[in-house]
Amino acid sequence: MSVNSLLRVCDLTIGYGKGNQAIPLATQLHFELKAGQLVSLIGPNGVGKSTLLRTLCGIQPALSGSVFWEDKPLEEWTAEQRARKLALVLTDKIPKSNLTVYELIALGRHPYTNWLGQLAPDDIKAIETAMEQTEVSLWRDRKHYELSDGQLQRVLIARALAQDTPWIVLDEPTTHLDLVHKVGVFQLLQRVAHQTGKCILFSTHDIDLAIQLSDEMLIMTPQQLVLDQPCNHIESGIFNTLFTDEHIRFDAEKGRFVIS
Amino acid sequence: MTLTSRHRGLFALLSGLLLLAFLSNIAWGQVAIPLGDVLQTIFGQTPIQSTWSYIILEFRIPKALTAILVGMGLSTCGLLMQTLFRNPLAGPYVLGLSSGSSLGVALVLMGAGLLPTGLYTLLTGTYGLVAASCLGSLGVMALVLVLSRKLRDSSGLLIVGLMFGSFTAAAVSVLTYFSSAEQLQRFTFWSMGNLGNLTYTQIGILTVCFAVGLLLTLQNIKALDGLLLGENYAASLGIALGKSRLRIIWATALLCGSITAFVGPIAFIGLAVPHLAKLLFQTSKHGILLVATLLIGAIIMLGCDTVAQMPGFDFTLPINAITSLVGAPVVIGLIIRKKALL
Repeated sequence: MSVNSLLRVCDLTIGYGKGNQAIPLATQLHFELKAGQLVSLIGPNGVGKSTLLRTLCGIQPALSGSVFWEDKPLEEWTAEQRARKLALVLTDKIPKSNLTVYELIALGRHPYTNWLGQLAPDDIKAIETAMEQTEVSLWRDRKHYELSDGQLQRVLIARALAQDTPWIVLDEPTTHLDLVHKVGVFQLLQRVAHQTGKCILFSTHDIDLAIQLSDEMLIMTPQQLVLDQPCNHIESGIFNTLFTDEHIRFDAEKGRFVIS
Repeated sequence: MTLTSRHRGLFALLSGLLLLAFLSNIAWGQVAIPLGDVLQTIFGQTPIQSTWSYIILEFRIPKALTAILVGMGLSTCGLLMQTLFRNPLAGPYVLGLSSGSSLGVALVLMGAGLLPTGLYTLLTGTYGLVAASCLGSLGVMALVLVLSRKLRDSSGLLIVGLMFGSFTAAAVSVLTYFSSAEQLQRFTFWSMGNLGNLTYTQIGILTVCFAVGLLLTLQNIKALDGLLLGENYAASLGIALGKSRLRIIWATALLCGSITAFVGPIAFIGLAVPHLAKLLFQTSKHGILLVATLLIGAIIMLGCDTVAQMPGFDFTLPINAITSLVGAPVVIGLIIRKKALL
């Protein structure tokens, strides 16, 4: 186990409880994430990507096994401590309110502010930096519900950056976006991971883009979960086992899926 | 939280309006008292007519104080509920908290007759009524919270609130068959709503309940801001959701319950005032919104009461009629324009 391990998963079983019965989605998961990496999580619908992310973040309990944040079991972290380690970008719809872009990003400073949420100079600096990194400064006074999906996604990422945590998890940040905005978000995440040394883990269905832009890929199939660099994944031929449909085939030379 | 100059200006304006509303509420009524004499009496001097001093000190000031507490308390309740349920149409009256309180009071006023005399006097005393009313609010609030997890759309919750209202009305009409004429009369007068019946001691009790409710609210300012992003985001920001939720439930139950016990169910103030605050201040920061809501709530309630007194006429209107006349159009407007914000 290396020193800069942010997240370590040991013999983890994820799933959900239905009544008294536990329904496992994936068992015997092992992997480790390090700082300064952009890691994508891919897999077919229903394989348990969201459940995995929720379990890693502590939103939902593991059925068995353990999740370590910086070598300390997840259960031993308090809610306040967690908020300084991990920031989230979820698919949850933000309820319509009077929050401006600036105020929304400023909420990311909650773990550091006093009981009234007053911003100190450090907080303001962190917010400004986050807005510059994501290039959202122009919209600072707009209400959040006036933004397009692509703009809002950047603002939510800025909020996560302002939270100033060593790792960030994003649940399908590129859904509902057109190609230009998808690529924009991917490049933004890559830049942030490399420049700030954060570990950024996100789930996505844009496999072609993920292959091109992520440092490591976490590939989830009903049988297994493998973490490796994209080129190694291509060599191993795991992409062909991703979908059961025989018409969809992975073309290793082109590095993308083709329909035959 | 830094205040913009716009917010400073608005706060100054509202404070002035509150003072004005307070004084005019005392000056106007069936007997009009000149403002100079009102001020004289407030500052401990005797006005020209000694009956005025009696009217002001024993009747109008307690009523004005009650109006301020009621307006502030119910509006705070509405603000808390709107953010907790992330539903701009939530409020203590609309979601049935007032109905819950009514049921509690009805059970005590009309049902306690079946109990031994000692217990009856204890229960129908001030403390008994307040406790029953708060418990009623608490019960409904907890129920609505459970149901809100199953209902995702905002109008569904309103229908549930409406059902609580019908249920209470039905339960009360059943109770009337088992109660004496005197008990029934007491309940009927209570349910029409009246700000003017409180002694200074009762105002004291109401103030304590209000202060505790406000304290619980203040502890939640940050949590409420976080909840604007939804529960998952709030939790990821380190907010202890369970604790905050519990505090908010207690605050609303205490505020709505105590107020309803003393003055009867008051309609729509709790829903409408937070929206006026949001509209005026254009912010969702709860630190600012809470102060704005308190000020506007007090002003509106004093205003409604001044109108209900019908200055120059020798009769008064029930306070609930006035607040409904003001509040119901606001609700309809909010639904139609779909511009309601948290």
